[in-house]
Amino acid sequence: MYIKMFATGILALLAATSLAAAATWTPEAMMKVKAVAAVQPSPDGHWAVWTERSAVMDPEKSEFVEQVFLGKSDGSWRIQLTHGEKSSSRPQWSTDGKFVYYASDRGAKNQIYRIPVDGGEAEAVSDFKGGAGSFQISPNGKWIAFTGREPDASDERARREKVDFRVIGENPKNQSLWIVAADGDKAAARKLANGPYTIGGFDWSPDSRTIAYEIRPTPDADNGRLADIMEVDLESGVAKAIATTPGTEAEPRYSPDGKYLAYVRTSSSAGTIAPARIVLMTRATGAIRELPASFDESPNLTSWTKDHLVFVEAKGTRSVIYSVPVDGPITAVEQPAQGTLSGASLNKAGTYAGFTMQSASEPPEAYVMDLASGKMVRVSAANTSVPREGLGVTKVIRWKSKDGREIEGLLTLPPDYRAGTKIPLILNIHGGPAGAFGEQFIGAGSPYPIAAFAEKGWAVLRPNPRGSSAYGRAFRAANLEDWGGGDYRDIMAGVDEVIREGIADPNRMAVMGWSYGGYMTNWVITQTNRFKCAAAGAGLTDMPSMWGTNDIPSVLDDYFTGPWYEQQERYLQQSPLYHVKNVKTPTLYLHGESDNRVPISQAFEMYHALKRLGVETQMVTYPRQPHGPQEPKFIVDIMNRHIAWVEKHINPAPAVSGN
Amino acid sequence: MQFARSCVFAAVAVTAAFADTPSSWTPEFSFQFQTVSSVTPSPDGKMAAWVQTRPVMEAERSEQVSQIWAGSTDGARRFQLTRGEKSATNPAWSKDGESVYFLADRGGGRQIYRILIVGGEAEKITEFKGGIDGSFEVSPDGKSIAFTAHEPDPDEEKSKKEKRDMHVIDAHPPDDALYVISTEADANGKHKHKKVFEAKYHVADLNWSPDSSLIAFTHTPTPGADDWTRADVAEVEVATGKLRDIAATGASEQSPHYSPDGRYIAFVRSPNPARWAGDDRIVLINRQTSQMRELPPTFDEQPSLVGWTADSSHIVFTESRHTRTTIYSMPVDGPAETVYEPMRGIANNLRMNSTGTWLGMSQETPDQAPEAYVMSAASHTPVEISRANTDVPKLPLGRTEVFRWKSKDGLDVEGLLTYPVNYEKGKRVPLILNIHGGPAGVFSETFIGRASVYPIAVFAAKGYAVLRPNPRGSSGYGQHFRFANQKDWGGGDYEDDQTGVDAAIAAGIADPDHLAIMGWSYGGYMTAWTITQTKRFKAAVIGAGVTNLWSFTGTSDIPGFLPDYFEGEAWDNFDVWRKHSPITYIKGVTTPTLLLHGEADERVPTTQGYEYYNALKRQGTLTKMVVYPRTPHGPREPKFILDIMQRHLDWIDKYVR
Repeated sequence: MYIKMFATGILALLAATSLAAAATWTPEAMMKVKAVAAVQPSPDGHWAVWTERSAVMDPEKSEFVEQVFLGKSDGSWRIQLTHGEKSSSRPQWSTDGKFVYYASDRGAKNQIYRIPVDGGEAEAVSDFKGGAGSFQISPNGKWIAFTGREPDASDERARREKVDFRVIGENPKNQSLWIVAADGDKAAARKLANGPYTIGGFDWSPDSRTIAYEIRPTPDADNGRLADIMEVDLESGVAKAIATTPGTEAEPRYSPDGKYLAYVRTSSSAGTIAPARIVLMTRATGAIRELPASFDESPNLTSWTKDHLVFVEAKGTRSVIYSVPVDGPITAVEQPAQGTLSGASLNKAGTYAGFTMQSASEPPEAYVMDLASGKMVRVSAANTSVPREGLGVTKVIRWKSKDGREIEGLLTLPPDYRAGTKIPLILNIHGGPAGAFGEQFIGAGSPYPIAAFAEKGWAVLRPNPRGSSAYGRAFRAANLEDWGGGDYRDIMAGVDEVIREGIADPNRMAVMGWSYGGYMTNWVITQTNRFKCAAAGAGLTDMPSMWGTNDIPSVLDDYFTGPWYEQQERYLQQSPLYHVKNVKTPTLYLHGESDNRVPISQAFEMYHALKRLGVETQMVTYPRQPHGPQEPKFIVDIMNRHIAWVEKHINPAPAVSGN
Repeated sequence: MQFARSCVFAAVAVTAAFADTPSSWTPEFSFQFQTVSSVTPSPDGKMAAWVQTRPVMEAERSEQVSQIWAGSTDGARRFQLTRGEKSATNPAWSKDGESVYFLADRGGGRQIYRILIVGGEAEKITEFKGGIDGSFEVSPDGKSIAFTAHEPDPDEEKSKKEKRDMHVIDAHPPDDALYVISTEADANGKHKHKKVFEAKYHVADLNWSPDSSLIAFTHTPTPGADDWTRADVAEVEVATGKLRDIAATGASEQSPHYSPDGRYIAFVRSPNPARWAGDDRIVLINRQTSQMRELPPTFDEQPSLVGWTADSSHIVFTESRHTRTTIYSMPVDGPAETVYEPMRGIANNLRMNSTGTWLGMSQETPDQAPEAYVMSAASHTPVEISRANTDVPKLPLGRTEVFRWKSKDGLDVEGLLTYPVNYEKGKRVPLILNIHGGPAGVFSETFIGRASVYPIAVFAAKGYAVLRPNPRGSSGYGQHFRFANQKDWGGGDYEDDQTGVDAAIAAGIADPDHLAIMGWSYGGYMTAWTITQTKRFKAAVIGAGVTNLWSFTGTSDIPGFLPDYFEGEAWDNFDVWRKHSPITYIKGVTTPTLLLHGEADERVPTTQGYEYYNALKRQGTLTKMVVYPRTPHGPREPKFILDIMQRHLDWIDKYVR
């Protein structure tokens, strides 16, 4: 969850407008790669909508703007459906395929709009004071259900009158479930369900009579593991509990025949690393049945075909679309030979799938797949003008760790790399720890400008050490009570391997990473002086203070088997700060000032220690930024600082010929 | 400069007109009082100007507003000199005594203004872009004003607008430079300021030479709170900008004062390296020979220089002495003589007029709200000149007395004990232990009815006794006592506090089953510490407290502070730092605990509160945490101070009564 949540930040940072004639992979050029998301095939499968997201860096702007696109499923035609300064996102088809609904904050607050697909402008269908959250159209097309929170007038007044102190944990910003007519008749929205909890994801029953929804005590991130499922009857408003064990129950999905409700259940209390299983509830009897375990035991449910449940999971550095019948084994629907796919969705009939695909060498685009034939067509042209020249070459490599465990990772080499040449190496470590490096486009803007490094002559190694997701539950749990142990050795063995192969120059190596990757970067510099410089982004440094200040302490309970005051020695010994005396490596610290996941105090602790120890260090903080930087100008700055920092300490230019 | 003193007790507040007088003391009632500061006698000693500050809490406002008053030094006459919504502060007399210069933000940031005493509105003297954040001083010849300020970085505003406003930590300290401006307007009716010299450091305080040709000043590498230890003193020739070092050793050298005859510069010097607990001497440098001479140690070895007497024979300074403050004068050949020590209460905010003939101060006692006083250097008898709080209705106040006991190891310790209103001797009452910040702070005999985070008068009105100990480590009891908690936070100081409670129980005053504890800053540290060591307290309130020494030292704006108190870096004294951190013993704490913290606190970051709060909460201990936006280490907005007072009362009433 740590990293998953973080990763959405970072990977959502892909961005921008058509790449000009730039021949080089500069941070500025990389920001022009657009992100593609929310690919939705139309009910008849002949059309699709999706969103493209660009970085806007006009003089006083620094934001990502998302717009809805419409195209034919055969890839022959497309237009931009929404325009404007503000984002339009999360498109959905009306049941008759004549309208596309979407959410936009073009007004005062986020509202739901609809636009006819055959011409004309959009109209607002909601006029909700608090701003609408996620929404879903009922199968009969009459209603839109959405989550939202009414604005609290007393908040605003307290701020104005300067009595805006906050009692921690009081007045959580809980969301309720609302419905409004889908036809644009803006009668006031009706509150359908609420209680002493917040409502998250939900799903309409096929007969449009009930909605199943996730609840948890508050929106606090640490409460995610307490999710339960309830169901409300539209007519009577009566709500009942569906799944309320102490484990996590989430992602409810009604089967098209109304017989089942599928959801994902994580039964163990160690929510971060525990196995998640798909559960089928027979609605008539309430009987529940667990489906076979998926490969990584962390499925993300898409929705049902006529009789199969479709879900997506990472597998190694790639991802796979699977389907499972109510009574049979899991089969792969699509398993790309390279690259990753994300954001899968099905049309209502369950006959077409839409998703985003990209690979290390190909930028993201929207695809539609006819599930009957398996034929897949690119429908978007978001990044067709992105150049391919000068792009580093990325391959999956595998090595044996110190204890014999097989580890894999991504190795990116310069475009003109000649075998046998020793070049400088950047070791880049992912967050999580239960994240994974996947085969995503290396030319996209992110804090780590992989393509820029490669073009400048660096090799970049991105390992997936034990503790990473996408290699099965046992692997994901293999770093329990052992941060900085086996995971550290897996990573170092990867570096040794790249040296042994004659690629990396052992005297010119740098290490960098964000979040848990920042933790590991901090850890690495306390354990070895082999790296000439380091850069830690939003990294953990002091596990006891981390436990008491971050927004998801339960995750640390999982990894360290208890809160810090019950496991003092373990938390202390596995904290980089408690080994800081060993550090000699010049280290750059980058941190968002609004980071609740890894508070900025973590970086200050290490920065001040290095300064007092006389080790070269610099710290840069980013106003307004949460755990993953969100403003494109800051992302460019972070990329440029990473490049400048490694070039200050390591000369990348002269390639040293090997023997 | 120190951990808690300046910041914590800056939380004092002041007056608003409340229509109704309650029958007994309430938090709201405390806001009727004004504070008094910057009492400045005129050059001839006939008049004085001072500042009165009151809280403004109407509708959408929540701030302290200061205005300058002027009056005759015989106490016969006074009037309000400045008016308006914004504060006017730092009064300074013109050489002829006809005008008062002051600082006010009346548009365009804080600027220097001048107002005639005989009448008329103030005129603006400076047009300094971004405002003057430092201090100013009028030259002895009256022709110039020197001030410290920093020009706004033109890129800063632009980068904010363009959203390129990342911060490189420590890269661009907002160093103040030294400027001078003529007091008379030029042919175009303008005053033009000039930067006296360019330097890559921060200019802090300044003092004109008697012939108005030179300025001595303190400089530090940056304005950061950690850098006072590296302060040096230098002198600049105003006409040429030529610089000369006066004192530039590894010690901290500060607060230069020229003698009126021009023979000496007096300044204050720390040991080398400087010590955070404070261990200072007055040093004289002979300007002819450059010879330096250290004067005899003062009682508390923490003198604050006020100025020279007119005949250049004595340096006037002030210091804490036990629960009071004392004014001393030091002959150039020492030792110090006492000039004035109040019988009760404190003489505070001392200032001297430009001719070295009169002193101004504010005075208050536990049962008397502050007023402005002046004293001719010859008389030693202060005269009350303000009426800031005379019209506030009188309500019964608990009696406050100095209370003494022996600590566990035999050390004599004292504190202030406030009894409930109408206390009957022999009756046991609930007791609140209130611990000060610092640790080198001190509880002195301030007015207990003031609007501060601790509503002592209200507690007394509700039947509580309040014990405010000055344990080892406090100021006011000499250098040895102040250093007695080095490397021992939570050790001897804790015993001193607890034996104070024991003594109050033994004296038949405190009910041992109804005890509460509260404190701010280091007082918050000690509160957090105490409830890990004993369960005798039924409730605790931790204000901006340090709870984890390791994470504190790396996140505070004074990372040099603890390595001094603990005689080494954390990584070299791993076990010691752990051993003295309250958080190490958090498991099993059951005392109901309220935590209060400012969200803009750079001294003790809010994370210190969260670490403790989350560990208590997870264990199921009764706890609550309240955070205050915009609020630094000491709360400033009166509405927040009121909220904090009320929360202390409610929390302790709920669990201790």
